[in-house]
Amino acid sequence: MGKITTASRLGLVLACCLGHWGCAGKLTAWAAGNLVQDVAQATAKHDDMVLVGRAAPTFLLLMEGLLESNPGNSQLLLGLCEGYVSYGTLVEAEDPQRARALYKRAMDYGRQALAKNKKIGPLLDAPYGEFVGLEQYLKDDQVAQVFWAASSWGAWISLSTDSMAALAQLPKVIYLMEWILERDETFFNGSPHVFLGVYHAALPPMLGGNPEKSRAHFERARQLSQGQVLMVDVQMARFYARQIFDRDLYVQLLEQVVAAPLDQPPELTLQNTAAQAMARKLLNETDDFF
Amino acid sequence: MRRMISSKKIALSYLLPFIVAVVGFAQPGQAQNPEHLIKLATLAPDGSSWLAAVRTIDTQVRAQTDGAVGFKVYPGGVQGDEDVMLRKMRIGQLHAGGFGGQGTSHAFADILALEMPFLFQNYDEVDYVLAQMDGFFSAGYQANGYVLLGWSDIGFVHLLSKAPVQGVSDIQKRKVWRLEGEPITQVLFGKAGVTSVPLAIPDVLLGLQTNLVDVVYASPVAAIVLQWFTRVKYVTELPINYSLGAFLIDKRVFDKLDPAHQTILHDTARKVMRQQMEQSRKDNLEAIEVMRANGLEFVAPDPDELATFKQLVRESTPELVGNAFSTQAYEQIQQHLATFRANDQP
Repeated sequence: MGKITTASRLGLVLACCLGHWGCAGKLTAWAAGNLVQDVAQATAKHDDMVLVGRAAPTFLLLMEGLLESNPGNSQLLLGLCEGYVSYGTLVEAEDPQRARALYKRAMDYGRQALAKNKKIGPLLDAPYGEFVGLEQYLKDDQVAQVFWAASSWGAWISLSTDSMAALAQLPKVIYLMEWILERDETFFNGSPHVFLGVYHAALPPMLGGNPEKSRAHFERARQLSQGQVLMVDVQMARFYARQIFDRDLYVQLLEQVVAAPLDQPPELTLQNTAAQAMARKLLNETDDFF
Repeated sequence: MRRMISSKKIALSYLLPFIVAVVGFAQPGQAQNPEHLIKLATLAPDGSSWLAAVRTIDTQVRAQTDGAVGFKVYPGGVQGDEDVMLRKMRIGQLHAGGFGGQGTSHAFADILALEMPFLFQNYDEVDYVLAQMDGFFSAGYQANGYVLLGWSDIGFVHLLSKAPVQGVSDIQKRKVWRLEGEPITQVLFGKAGVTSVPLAIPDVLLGLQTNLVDVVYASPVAAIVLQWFTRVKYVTELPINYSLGAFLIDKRVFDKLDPAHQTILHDTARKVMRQQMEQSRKDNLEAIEVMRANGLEFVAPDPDELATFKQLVRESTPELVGNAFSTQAYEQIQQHLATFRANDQP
């Protein structure tokens, strides 16, 4: 779930953090300056995930420092939510326990941002039937806030499947993602579609999964991103092709990713580099799955 | 009601830990292929406690057999539903399966005798009867071509509803879901004059949303994993029937193993599956508390209505015994329960 773009996002983290930084209220002049924006762009165009991943924690801590002097700043909360969930995806394969704590932190920031509306705050933990009432308080310009809050929430749940209390929160996350689709399905290159594509393919139909819906979401995400976001096909192979046990589709999707250019457009270089690395790994593991 | 998810069943117990999107590359590349690579399929998704148990068994068995025996696991239903899994086992495409209620009883129908409504009052009774009947069920599976490598616990099925249900008369006024193709519910509902709506599991959530049904049944864990708890307001505080799953291996495959390896596989699997069962029971308890915390109201059954309910089950029993399951299985279970209850009295 949140992990949609997974490792790729890690890199993005940096870019995103910097982006939000620029907007944060009374931040110092340098932070709002061109330098930050320039670094953000350079990061997205970077092709060295390791370098970017190592730099990310520094920026996360800096943002938390800024939050200390700007408590409740929406842009900072959003940047931290996005930053931590993205960084968590980087850490997850190696250390799921640590990733879970990072997702929790991301989720807390995301919920804090939403809870700035006093009507919404109490609804987040309310029973599902009351929770859905937050629709009347959410505004169309909150798509980014809702997306990152839901992504981090979903990521935390996916690593907390030993807790019934955590699993019981999943319907809320799905509700929020569907709310976004109704407002702006193009958000973050159609990421809400990728999220739901993964969700519907993560379980067999007998347990509530829906491969057809999964496929439709992945195909729409590919259409919206004009096939340039390689992680769409990687996740489609990993979740949808595996769920329907279609080895040919799995291999075909991943081979396409491996053969695709990484820098078209240049702003996707970092995340496409991550997607390609994942595609190679998944191709190597084909015989383990099928 | 009864067997919710149990019969056609899904593997609810293990579903609990389902995962939505694990990012990590979950499946650890399995080292080298062992001489005997056992292909195992299950509906339980990767990341679930059932899968974790199977991976533990795999690791221990590989170590103890010097790598001669190991599993290749197909999780999350990728090999098809449980009937398809059984068919693939018959033709040798698969060698083993982790089954929920459907596969467990389709591989040996007498399992259904364990799932009669109001049969068990608690897990102590379940454990006693399963232990006493182990030889009977193992032999039944053997006769059908399977070796039983352990049980898994789906749990006690409860009624979930949009309006409070305290007894049969409340149900008669409602649109009650029934699992398609499940024999016990069909007979029982017929006797009770209940209007039941047969639906497959994947259609139930939508059925609740659109008011096609307003009473359903499931184990507490299943109610959460399938998200049904979000569309109902009440839970009847009455464990209706117990439901279980089984880990089965094709006897032809098992027989080809070295006898020492057979023992290792059997004993390891039994031990780890037993631990997993304890976990499932804890999960079901937690699920009940989570439903409470989510605002569901727990209603006690009306004592008179409960008596009526039990009477209906008694009336349905003759139709089921000797049809849905054997008379022998039914009678042995009753006998062991009577013994346990007699000894259990202070």
